[in-house]
Amino acid sequence: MALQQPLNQQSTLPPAQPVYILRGHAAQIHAVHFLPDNLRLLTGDAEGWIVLWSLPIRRPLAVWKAHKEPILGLGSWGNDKIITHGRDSKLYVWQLRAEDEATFSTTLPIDDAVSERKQPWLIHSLTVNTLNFCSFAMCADGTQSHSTDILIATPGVSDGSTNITALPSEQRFATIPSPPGLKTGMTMALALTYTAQRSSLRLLAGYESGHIAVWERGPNTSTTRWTAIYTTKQHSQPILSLAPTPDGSCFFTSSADAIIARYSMPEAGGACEEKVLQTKHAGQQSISVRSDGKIFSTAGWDGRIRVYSVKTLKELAVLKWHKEGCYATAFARIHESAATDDAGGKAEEEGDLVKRDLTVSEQRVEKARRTHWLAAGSKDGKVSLWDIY
Amino acid sequence: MEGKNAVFQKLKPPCVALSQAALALSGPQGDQQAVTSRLETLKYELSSATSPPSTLDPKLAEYAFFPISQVLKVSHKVSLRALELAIQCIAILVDQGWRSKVPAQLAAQLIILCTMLAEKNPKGLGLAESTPDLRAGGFWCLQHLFSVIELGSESHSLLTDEANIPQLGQTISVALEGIYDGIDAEVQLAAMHALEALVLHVLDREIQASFLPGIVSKLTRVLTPQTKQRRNHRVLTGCLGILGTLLQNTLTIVPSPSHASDRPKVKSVVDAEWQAQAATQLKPALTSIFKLKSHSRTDVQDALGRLYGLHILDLDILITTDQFVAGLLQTILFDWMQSLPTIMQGSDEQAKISRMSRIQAGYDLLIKGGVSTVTMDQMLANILRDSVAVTLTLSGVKHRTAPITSVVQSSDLDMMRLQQGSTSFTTPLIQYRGQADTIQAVQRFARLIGSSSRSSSFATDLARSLRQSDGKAQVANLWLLLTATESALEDRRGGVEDLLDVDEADTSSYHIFLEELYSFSLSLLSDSSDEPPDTQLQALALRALALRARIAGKDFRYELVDALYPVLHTLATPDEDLQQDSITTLNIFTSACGYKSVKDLVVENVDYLTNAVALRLNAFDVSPQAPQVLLMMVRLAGPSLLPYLQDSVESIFAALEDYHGYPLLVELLFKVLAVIAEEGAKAPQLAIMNVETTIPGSMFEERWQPTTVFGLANLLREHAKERAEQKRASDESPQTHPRRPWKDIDDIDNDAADQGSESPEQQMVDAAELPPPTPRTYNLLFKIAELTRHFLPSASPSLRTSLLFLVRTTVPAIAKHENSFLPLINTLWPEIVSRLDDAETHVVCAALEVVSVLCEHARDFMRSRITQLWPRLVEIHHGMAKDEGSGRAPKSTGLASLSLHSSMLAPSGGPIKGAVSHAHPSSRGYDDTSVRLLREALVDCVTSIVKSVQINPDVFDEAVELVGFALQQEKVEAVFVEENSDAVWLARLRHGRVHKPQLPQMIGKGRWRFADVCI
Repeated sequence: MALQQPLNQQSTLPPAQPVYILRGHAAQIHAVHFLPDNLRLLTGDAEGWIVLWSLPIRRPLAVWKAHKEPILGLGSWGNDKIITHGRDSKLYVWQLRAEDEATFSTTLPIDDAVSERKQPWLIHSLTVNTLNFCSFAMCADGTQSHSTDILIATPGVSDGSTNITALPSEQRFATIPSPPGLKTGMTMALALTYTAQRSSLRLLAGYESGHIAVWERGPNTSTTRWTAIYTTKQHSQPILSLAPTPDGSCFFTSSADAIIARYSMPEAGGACEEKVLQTKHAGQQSISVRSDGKIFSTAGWDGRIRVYSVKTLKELAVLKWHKEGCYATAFARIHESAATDDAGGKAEEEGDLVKRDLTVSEQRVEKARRTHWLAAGSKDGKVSLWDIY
Repeated sequence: MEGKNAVFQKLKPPCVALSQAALALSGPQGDQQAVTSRLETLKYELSSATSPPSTLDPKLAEYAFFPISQVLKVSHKVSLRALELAIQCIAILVDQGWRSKVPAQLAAQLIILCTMLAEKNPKGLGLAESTPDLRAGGFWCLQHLFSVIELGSESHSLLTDEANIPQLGQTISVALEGIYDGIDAEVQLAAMHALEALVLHVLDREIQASFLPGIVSKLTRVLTPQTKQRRNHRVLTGCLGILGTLLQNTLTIVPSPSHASDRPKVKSVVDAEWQAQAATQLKPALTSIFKLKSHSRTDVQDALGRLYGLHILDLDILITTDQFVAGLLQTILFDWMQSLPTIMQGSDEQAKISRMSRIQAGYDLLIKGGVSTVTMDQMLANILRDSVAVTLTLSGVKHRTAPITSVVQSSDLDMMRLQQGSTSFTTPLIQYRGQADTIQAVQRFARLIGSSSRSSSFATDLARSLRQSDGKAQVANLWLLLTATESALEDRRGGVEDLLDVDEADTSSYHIFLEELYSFSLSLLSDSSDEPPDTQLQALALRALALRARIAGKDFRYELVDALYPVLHTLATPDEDLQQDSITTLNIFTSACGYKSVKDLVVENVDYLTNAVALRLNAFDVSPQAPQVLLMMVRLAGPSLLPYLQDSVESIFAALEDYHGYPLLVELLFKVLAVIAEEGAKAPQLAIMNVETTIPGSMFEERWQPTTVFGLANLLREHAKERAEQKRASDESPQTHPRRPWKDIDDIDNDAADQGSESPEQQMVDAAELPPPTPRTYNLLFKIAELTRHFLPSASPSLRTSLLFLVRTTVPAIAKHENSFLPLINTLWPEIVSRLDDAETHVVCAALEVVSVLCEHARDFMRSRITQLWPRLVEIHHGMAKDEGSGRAPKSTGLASLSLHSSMLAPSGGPIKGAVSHAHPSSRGYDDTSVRLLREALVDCVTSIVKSVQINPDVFDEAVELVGFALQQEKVEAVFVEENSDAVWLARLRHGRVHKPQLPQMIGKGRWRFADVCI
């Protein structure tokens, strides 16, 4: 909680220490992803192994080899579906229900990276282009109200193009070319988001050339024409990661260079406010914006995780533990109830009526759910967990 | 007798005179005045006869009583004053004369008389109204009478005989009357004393019980404060005392009163029913008496307190559900509690304990009466906390001294101790003998509060101040809260009461306190600040964790992620008591979580521990605990743990670089590394089993074989042929160009390495890509070994030794993967060789050991290195011999001759000439340990070389000399003989260890003798 002090005092604080190190992958970590309830963390490594961790007890619940090649991205859909994206040109959707967790192997890859493990039930398998290292992007399908359908964006076969597929129908939703008139090279990072008013769906794409493009889906759903309403180039190196804020009001990019750029979400034909931060730390990737839209983090090739303010782009914290480069970070979702909790330490005393019925393990679960986790995966095969801000 | 006589002589005249006057009075010429004045004289004589005491005796009393009885016979004719005097005289006679020997009949009569005299309107005497003095006199006399009656005496039996009960009743009622409306204090006081004596000395339990209602009701009226009349405080205290005595005697449940059997005919009236009835009836009385509480005099208050406290506590029957009585008790308890801190600061241990147990007893009553104790609990929390804090700061004789074991010693945490299954704690607060009783009294109380109070305000208050307080107050706070919580959660479980009266809210609030205790204790134990925490707090925190584990049961496994490491951390502290507590805590964890042993507990949660240790190491925490815990974990969990330790080992090396100024820490860190290395080498895939099989056979080049005569002949022939050819060639053609480029002399070493490794590598081309067995463990060991090179030139000799030891330990395991091992030798070799020049002998020994181990595992790969190293080994030997030589100036003649002899036999020009003989351990008078160790190390090293590495015959000969007398050792001999038995024989011969072989020679006809052979 020391970290919750005013930011200007930060320099006087002792260096932050991780809460826990999850050891278990034998290869570098490529992706980390919190499941929505904050009780599970998914990690994927360069050998295609996936580990589902329980955060309350910090132990593996399920271990399986999802892909033959490195994991590129991880996601979750609904309460029980896990999406894995591997370099083996596959994107899988697995169903892993909580009640089935006990049936999986928990032998970590570090102990045995050879034996076959039981896999969760595979419900979708898409063949996608993974020539580059671009992870998929997803968002809920807002074209139909109250739908649990999702849209998945992956790079297309031709340079700079993007395909969007709807799930569970597995229908091609859109095919988006490279931005006209630009030599962008491969698609490097993707994001799907709605604008702040949820009026329109946007595809954000970052390219090998350092360009980014904002694609808007036309209002006429029948034609489904996508237009690049904005392109710009702030980076001299290929884009490594791209992330919008949850409300879709702005987004960030990082690249192999030392720049972090913030872009306000442009309106069709309108201007975009850009702000560039010269971090002096080349190679920051895996930008992750926290669910409350206040801070974001980057994983640095220098082994440090950096936390920045969304509003000011100010560097708030440097988390140093990994001795090797980091490739992935993720924030746990901030639950509304947890946000007010710290203010009223006394209120908790009266509020114990709720607490008293919890067993020991339930209390742990509750605590894990409320913690403001930040996870970072590194080349060293370890995942550090931080409790921050 | 003299005195008695004198007294008699003195008493005689007034007695005679009085007797005459009394007799005269029964006639018509009686003179009242004369009787009165003579009585006065007699009283005077009697009074003066009472000092010194025991001058009067029953006989004299009887004598003196006679004239008085005469007066009493005509009592209606004498003046009131005369009666007063008469009764006063009787009082003196009873008190000083008869004492306990007062005749029973007389006593009975006197009681009747005195009762009559003490009446307000003594009708029996025909007086209209008595005087205060007369009444007081009657009461005084009664008091004396009752006081001298002994239990079981004839008088006692007579007085308490059923027939006399009405008279007793009369006396009691007169006395009560006297107390109640005696005109002045004197009468009241006298009446009170009379009643007191009666109750104390005469009335047994049964009689008391039958008169109880009357006495209580009257005394209540006396004791109820009235505005119109203020009573003498002595009267009040006395009455309170009487009441107390009566209540105690009648209302306490006595198992089987002994006198009940004496009177089998009477069924005791005092039974439970009677008592219950009495209790209800007594309540209003006690209520009104309690108003005395506001009395200004403290002695009255005290008496009241005694009545309600001391006595009432036994009368739990009284406290039923009456709120008012409970209120009274509460008030008294409050008063006591308020004065408790003062008592606690004093030095009277007994007072502390008795006060404590009184409060506790009162509290217990309130609880049993179902009274709410919310406010009282809160107050108790404060008071007990203060009391404990005060007790803790009191100095005294040390109860026990906690021996402080040194840090490094305790790093060898004895695993056996973990096997002891102790699951009970001692009270950690008692440091001085004097504290024990007090602390235990408080503990009992806190347990009572925890287990029986319906309110949780006691614990709430403690929990609230837990984090705010500091010092001993915090210790007291934590301890009390823990004690109360423990008993609330554990003692209540089994209580029968609870089955009927389950108060869910109570225990559940204690679960919250447990939670609070738990989180407080965790943060306390995990605190890594520089300031050492209070050991008492730590000890209590361990107990809190243990309690939490016991309550949670198997669910506690979820908590081990946070709770296990701090306990092991505490186990690694130097404080022995804390170590014991930590072990107990671990045992409790083990049984609560359902593990078979502490080892299982550690092994199955080793991931949590690894994490905690690594984080500590990473945070550059200089305290030795984290490495010690790591050490213990590795020892317990064995090789399976090592794959997870990579970053810990890295942290250790980082710490080593940062903290080389802390020799103890560095040593400990290396100890950890050594244990890791040791355990790692035990990993099944790395365990040393068949060393030979792992080294490809191709590594063995053909061994040197002794030349046979046939071979020699061939050799010579070839030589001759070669010579001839060479001659011819040199005549004919120029020299051929070198086959390979010339090299710098420095490169020879590397070159040799290349050469050495080339052949196996080529052999292994197919297998080259094979990873080492158990890559993670292997890499860890490899890394440890590799990193040592940076520290080998360290300034600390013990560090250098432990590093070499580390290399020695890891080599057998690392050798399992040749492709990594051989380059490692290349990396480490220069550092190891340079250690042979170390100033410290034991470092040199360790380096020699490493050389032997390397030879054993790398075999012929070492050949070129050994060839280069050989002169250095010889030098060491030489230096050692020289040291020994100069060390002992006068050589023994035997030795000198031997050395002379051996020098004759030594190979010419050998550098070891002259030193050989010194290699025999038994050949010297004393043994320098370091030299002996060095020699042994050298012998081992040379033996290993001979055994594993192919060496030239010349070198072998030198090796034999280096080894010297150690050759007699079986294993050394075996190695050398195996290599070249002839050379060994020759060396032995040179040393005179074997007889020269003698050739048989013919000396004369048919006789042979052995010839001298010159070698």
